[in-house]
Amino acid sequence: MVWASITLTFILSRIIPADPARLAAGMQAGPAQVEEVRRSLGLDKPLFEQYLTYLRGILKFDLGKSIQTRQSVTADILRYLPATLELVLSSFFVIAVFGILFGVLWARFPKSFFSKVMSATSVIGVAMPVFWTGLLLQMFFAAKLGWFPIAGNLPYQEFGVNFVTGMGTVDSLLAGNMTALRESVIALILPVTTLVISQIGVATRLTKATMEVELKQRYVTTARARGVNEWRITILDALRNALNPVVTMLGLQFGWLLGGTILVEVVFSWPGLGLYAFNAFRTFDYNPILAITLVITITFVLMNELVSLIYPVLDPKLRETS
Amino acid sequence: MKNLNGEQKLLSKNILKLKNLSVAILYGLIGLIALAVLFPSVFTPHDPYGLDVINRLKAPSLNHLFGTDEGGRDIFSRVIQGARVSVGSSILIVGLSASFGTFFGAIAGWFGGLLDTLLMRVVDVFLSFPYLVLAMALAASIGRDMRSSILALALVWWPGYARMVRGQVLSIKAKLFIRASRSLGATNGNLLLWHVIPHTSRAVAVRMSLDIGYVLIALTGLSFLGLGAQNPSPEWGLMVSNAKSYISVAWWYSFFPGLAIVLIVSLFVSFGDRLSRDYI
Repeated sequence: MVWASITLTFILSRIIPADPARLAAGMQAGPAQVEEVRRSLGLDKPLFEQYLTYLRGILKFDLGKSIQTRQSVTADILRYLPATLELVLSSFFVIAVFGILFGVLWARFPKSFFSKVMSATSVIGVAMPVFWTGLLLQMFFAAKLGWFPIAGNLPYQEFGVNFVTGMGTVDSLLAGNMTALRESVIALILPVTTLVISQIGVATRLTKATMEVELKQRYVTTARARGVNEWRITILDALRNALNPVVTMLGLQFGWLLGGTILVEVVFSWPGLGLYAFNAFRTFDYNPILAITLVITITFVLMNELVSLIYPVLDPKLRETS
Repeated sequence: MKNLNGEQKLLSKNILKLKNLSVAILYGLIGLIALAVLFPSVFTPHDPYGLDVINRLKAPSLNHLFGTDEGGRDIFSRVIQGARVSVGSSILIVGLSASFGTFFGAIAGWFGGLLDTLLMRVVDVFLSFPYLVLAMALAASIGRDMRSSILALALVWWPGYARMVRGQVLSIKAKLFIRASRSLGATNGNLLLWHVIPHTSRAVAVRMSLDIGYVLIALTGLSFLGLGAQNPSPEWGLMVSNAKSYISVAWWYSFFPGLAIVLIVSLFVSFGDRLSRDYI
């Protein structure tokens, strides 16, 4: 699976007509210099050999050099990935907690005002393009009200915090700088809200749908007849059974967040992998693009594996068969 | 006779019900969008491409309902004109993916065995591929325009159809009427074309309606990143992208094209939801 996507990305990158050697050598370079660069990048070898070199590199975590930054792509990714992870993990956390909570409340009180609000907003959230939501939030809360910074994460130099992990919050904590920590949390709020708005509806709707089914089951009626507390039934019995499909969905959403964060990062100039990919694309720098595809695809596959490992933990029925 | 009257009464009551009214509105709006996609110039009060630098970045007014952009172009007219580009392309993408996916999935499900395993592997690879990156690579290779983003999205959208149709074909294959027509001498091709694929069309249609909305979001996202439509196209994502530089001075510039996307997507998604509730 991973191998197939590696191959696919490699093929895609090599059908690009723009000459990477030419771009790397710069505009003023003569033909001899371009040839020189081509040889040093290994672009003069047969395609199959380039492919083998590439595969061998991946096994050694060597993903080649970025033509623009002139650094190894692995180093670049390690530098930019944490910022993306910070964004994605915080959004994922909010989506998981509130998505499930809202879904449970929605199913539990189907006729309430709350559920009407939910049914209206969960569709609109899905229908709002992420870049537009981000731009609107930016326009109103950052440009107009000035509550949040317009772009970027923690300004490291301004607060005298060292760049250690690349996550603003973690780095401030490591430095023991509380004002910087506050600043980096504030910088996170708008991008995280944008991602949450676009993705939470899916989790909420699915939780609600599975909870509805569970709450109609006989065991719920039995428990009620025995006088068990209604909240105990909802949380301990019904939600426990309804959680399986929700967890699958959340696993998929994590992969989506990682891929979809590029739009948010571009809107908020968040210095993560998405922005790096975007800049690499603009300069036809294909090693980073290949590498990022690889990282996202592998995370996606790993997430699916992880989800199938969680199943037996959640559902005892699956534990016995496996 | 009495019974019939009762039924008629029930019917007329139903028509007045809010639910049916909302269905009527839904169909009406979709019809309106179809008109806008087919004949945009009927609805545009100004020339969507006409520059008018004196009136640049003017706030919404009666003359310019949605205001004007940095070139003084009427945003309302551009949004209408953009329906053809954005919604039209989404329909094209969904059409391409649905037809190819149906073909692919039907073959895999029908013939089964090694071929099925092989074809489904291909589907899995495409499903795990992040579309933004694919679109970037394609845009770099065949040029940054609408063609590359249409191709990229069709490439990542067809596997969904292939998988769904395959599942359906597997269950249809076992049905009695298939055996009956086979015993009458129908060939594989005949069976697939006249008996199996038509049975999948209902589910495919529902999915297509939902997908037009989702594809529209993805497509405008690509244009926003500069991978799809290029200036001066009135593509909605591109308009929002252009508006990015003016967020502090012209809220209407990014607001209305985005609002158009939201409206169209929620329309198609609720249409698809309704179809799936009523027909499946």
